Amino acid sequence: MSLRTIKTARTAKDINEGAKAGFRPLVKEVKPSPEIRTKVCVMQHKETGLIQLSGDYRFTGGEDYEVVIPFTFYYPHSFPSPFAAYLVPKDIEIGERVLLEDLIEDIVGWKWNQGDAKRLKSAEAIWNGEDFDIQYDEKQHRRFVVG
Amino acid sequence: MTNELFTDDERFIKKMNCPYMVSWMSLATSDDMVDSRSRLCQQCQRPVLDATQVSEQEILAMQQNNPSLCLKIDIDSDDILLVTDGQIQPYEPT
Repeated sequence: MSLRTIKTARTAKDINEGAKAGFRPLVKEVKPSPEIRTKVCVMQHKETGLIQLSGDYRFTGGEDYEVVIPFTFYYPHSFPSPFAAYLVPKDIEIGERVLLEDLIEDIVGWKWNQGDAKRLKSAEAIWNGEDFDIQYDEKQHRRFVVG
Repeated sequence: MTNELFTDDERFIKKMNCPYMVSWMSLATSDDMVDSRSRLCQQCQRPVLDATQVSEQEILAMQQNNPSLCLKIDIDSDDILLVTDGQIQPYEPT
């Protein structure tokens, strides 16, 4: 059975447009999680100056490249506002299971044994009358990528 | 990450993308599958091939015959290297 998709508005303009369209915006703060991080190593070709990037400790470019920035971790996401809102349909009922298409909350989707942790993009959730209870099983989503 | 999958010699295989966000663990095994290395996705009714069970050459050949081939990869596998595409967008709080 397909789930209803809940959209996310990430600017004040889009949130207000959602309200005018008949949705009830559930406004939340966008809080970057320190757990979510990506690493990068920057390598530069010794002759051409072109750079190449690696996110994997096993790959550092080979003899023709020198590491100009060693592996360093950073938060890889940029959002337009420090707040966002789920656009909640007014006919939603307590207990309804939905798909939050664009998660506002920073939840670790999967972790890699090299230290990277990726943000969960979407998740199923259940409306409890005031908020969405996100239904996420880390063990299921952790390391297997399907696509 | 771009979610693009390449062979060891840098031939492009496909971009990993599942619009239904299915997880491998939730895919039902099926005795009806022609290929025992695959599981059936109930969302789109396509088989999802476990890439750990086949060689790169087989995956490439299958992909060429069926561009909509779905794969499951294990990012913890030693066979998988993760690289970025050069498009770093550092976080800048507003």
